[in-house]
Amino acid sequence: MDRDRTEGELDSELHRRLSMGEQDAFEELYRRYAPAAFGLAYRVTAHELLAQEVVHDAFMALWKAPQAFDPSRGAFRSFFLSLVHHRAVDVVRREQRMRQRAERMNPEPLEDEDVAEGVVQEAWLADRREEVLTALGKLPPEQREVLELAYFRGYTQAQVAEAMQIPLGTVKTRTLAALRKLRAMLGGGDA
Amino acid sequence: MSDEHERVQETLAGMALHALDADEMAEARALLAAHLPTCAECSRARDEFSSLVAELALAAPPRRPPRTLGTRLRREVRHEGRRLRVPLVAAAVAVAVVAGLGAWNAHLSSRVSRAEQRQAATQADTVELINAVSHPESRVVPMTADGTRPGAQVAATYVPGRALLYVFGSLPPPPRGHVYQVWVGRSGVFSSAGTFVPADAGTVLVRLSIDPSTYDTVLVTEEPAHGSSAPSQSQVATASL
Repeated sequence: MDRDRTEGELDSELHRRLSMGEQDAFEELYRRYAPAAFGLAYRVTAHELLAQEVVHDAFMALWKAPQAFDPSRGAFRSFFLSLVHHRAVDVVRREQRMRQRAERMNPEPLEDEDVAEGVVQEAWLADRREEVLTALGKLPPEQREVLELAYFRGYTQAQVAEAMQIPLGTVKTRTLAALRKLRAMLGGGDA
Repeated sequence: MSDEHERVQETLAGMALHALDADEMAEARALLAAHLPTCAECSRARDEFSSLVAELALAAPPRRPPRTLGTRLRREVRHEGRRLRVPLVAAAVAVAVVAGLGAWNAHLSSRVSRAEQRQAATQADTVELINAVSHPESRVVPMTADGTRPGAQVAATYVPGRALLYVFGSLPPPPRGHVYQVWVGRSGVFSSAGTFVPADAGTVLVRLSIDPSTYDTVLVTEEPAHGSSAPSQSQVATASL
């Protein structure tokens, strides 16, 4: 957690500099979060070009209106990845047909990777990722599936109910139970 | 825990996951507007769920973005500069509003079903506004103020194709016993979208679940405390959609 706090402070400093228009700060935030953002967008959209658009729009939104992030109300990481997820879900719901086509395909490895960016993900994020995966793995399968469909595939809760053939109320109950368990295992989530 | 708290927290969980559709969101906002201001426990749950769900992002396998994406972003940041897509006046308003979102401050009359009150913004709320303002296809329309209210600066923004319109900016408090009222009009026929008073700082953010394409005008007037059935002559700001 101490490292998380340190990284959070670094994010806040980079955000402050970005707010002053420093392109170097933008570059550094891109280096730190582009892999996580692109991984999330790709997981949700299941489509490389759509994922690129999501990440592009999220970073440009950050550049154009950095004041949208208020450091007093949480970690930059939470804010930015929430922004990416929100945009990815929007894209999925607009592009249902495209997504259905993409889901029938096996994602191909990217050929045009930005090797200049160095490591795919920094160690501190990788460690936190392990914690999140471990916590998800401890959820009952039916709760994990609800989160998988809602969060990682962009389904509405009504669509989750239809896909799992369970009542909408059950989806809501399982979702809340899952988040409470994750909260107990991971804490509030902010660095 | 009471059924009411349980229902609210189920709603908060769905919102945190961005898993509610438009109708559910409208219901959720009404529910939360009534419950959260007086419930510290559910307010805390809202913040915790929001942060927690953001951590789920890390479960997705990280991927190196294509080189072209970084190149494109660097080029746009270098050459395009900040906020060039947004008219200058509207950009100033947007920045002021975004900076002042500590209170999601449209204080809308609860009796007006299409308007929704937000008492306290979460990061997800901020994300929603910034998504609208900065969306590549968003339209930001500065509203012409009547010039008699110092500091009055209001704009409307929407994304074509979405049934959502924001009116935001800053306004001085209305005279005692009065409120501001938002109207949407088509061919000179106006219907009320809700009443509000600005937050203490004068910041305004009104979120309207309407389809902007079905109207040609948005109007803010000053009205008696309970609102009016038709716009008065006391026009505060107006814009063509």
